[in-house]
Amino acid sequence: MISSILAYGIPIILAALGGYLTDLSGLLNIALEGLIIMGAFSSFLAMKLTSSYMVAAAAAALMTALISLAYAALTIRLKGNIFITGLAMNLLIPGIITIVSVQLYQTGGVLQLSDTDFIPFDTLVWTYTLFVLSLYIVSYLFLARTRAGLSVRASGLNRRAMEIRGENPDTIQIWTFGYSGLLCGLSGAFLTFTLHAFIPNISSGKGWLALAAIYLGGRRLPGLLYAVLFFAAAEMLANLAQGIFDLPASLFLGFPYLITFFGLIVRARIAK
Amino acid sequence: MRDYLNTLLVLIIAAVIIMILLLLLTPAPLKTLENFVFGPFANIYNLGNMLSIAAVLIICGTGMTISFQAGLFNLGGEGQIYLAGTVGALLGLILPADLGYIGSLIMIIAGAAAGGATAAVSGVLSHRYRIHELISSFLLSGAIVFFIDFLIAAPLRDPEGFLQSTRKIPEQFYLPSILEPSNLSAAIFIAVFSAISIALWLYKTPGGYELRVFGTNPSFADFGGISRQRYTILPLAVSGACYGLAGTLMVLSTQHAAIVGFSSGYGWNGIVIALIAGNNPLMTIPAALLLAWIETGIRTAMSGTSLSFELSTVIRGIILLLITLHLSAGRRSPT
Repeated sequence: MISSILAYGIPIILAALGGYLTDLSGLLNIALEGLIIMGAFSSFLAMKLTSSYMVAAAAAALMTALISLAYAALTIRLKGNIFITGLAMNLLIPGIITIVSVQLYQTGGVLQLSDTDFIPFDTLVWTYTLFVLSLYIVSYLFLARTRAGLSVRASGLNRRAMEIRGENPDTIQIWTFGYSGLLCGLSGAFLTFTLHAFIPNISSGKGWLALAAIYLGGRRLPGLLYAVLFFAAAEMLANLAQGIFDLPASLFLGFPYLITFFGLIVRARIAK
Repeated sequence: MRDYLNTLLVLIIAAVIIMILLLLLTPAPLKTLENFVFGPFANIYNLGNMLSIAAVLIICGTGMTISFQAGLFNLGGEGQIYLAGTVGALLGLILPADLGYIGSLIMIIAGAAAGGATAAVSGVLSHRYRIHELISSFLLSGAIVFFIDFLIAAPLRDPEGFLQSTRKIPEQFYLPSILEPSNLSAAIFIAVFSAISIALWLYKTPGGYELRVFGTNPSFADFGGISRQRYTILPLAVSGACYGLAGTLMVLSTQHAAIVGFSSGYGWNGIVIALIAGNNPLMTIPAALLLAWIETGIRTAMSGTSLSFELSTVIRGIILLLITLHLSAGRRSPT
């Protein structure tokens, strides 16, 4: 029970922690959804090649970080619109993955990991939970206590002041995108590991929920955690309601979106 | 002029990439390339279908130009199209068939209103609570898509059909078709008419001028007494209404029913077209024709394989990725 709630929240909070840093630096990474899918697919390929969970997670993190870094650098250096290029990544990544998947495995559908590579669900979830918790603490310390963390926040608050101090906010923003990609990679790898397969649209909106969590949490680190807990609770309620009233599961697929939408409104009303 | 040069460069790069992909993915490269370039004009059927796709793209794109001109981002197109198409189809099933084109008109108005109202919600939230319209429109659209999926798959489903779709609307409501047996219908005229009238509104009326001022510089617009509320809500409503119009026209002219997932992927089209058109409603016409040509080309070139949907997605992705970049050096700073 607890581990299934954790398993629901882990991919979202991982993506949200990275997205939060990009938001702080002044540019929101809207490509989280696509990057999670990238992480899931890279980890699948790496699992097929090496059968090692550690290597697969690392490969997913690295690949996804590089892609996020590349698209951010391209956009920022050539003065493009990061929302538009982010949307482009969300379109390009799933499209290209399906094409590659058809070329490699003759199917654009479900790709199973082999049965010999297996670790128990609980081990997976608790390892990731420990990782997320330490990452959360490190993120806090980084932002509150280090010079680099200050630079990230300053880039978002006042570009001009950064430039006068001789630091380049563009460079800082590009690095936060790389970091955000890295965490999306780990998030995607977690999805592939827990499903023991790669499926098309594997993130099923988790990247978008992560973005919403940043806003729902009032763009603050503790808020992020509350927002994801809120999602997990809502998901649990939906499952319960479905069981009690015997309603079709498809009715609840859009529930996370709806509850997030109303959550944003309620939060804004309270803040006002 | 430089803007057009940049756009042209992007389109050429995209075309080259898509040709390379086609060559890699098919066994007979020359034949594939020929089908890609000339296939859309090979017969009346392909030509009509190309123009039919263009009609939908023109309308979606026109709506987005208004939203972008006001500096607003409507990311809920998919849900707005889906909702409007479903509302239209349901009305078509309820209304008496002998209403004929009056019935079609009612469906169109209801669909556009449904799409417009959905997008306007995001405008209201953005204005009153400063909730980013990009996030709110996407979330609302996501919820709508899943809910309508459910409605069409279960309670509204035509029990006799194979497809997951509603029952077909009466033939009296179908828009008059052109170039049979293709999908083309009078929708193409509605599309061109909308693009022209919205362009006139944007460039020739005080309201359009105020909208553009608000989009360029909201603080200056405030000084000039231009209503912030009005130009946050109205442009989103217009773009939603256009997506709604597109959705209803898809039902009235090609599908004749609300089919599960019929709007899938269409939410991005408006954005792609508006950007190619440089946010000028009139330019959406050539932009839509171009993208429709590419899409029809992919379909004819890839017939028999399953990847045409992915290739269409990839081509839109490439265009989106490159179109806002300042590819040639020494250009003015971005707006």
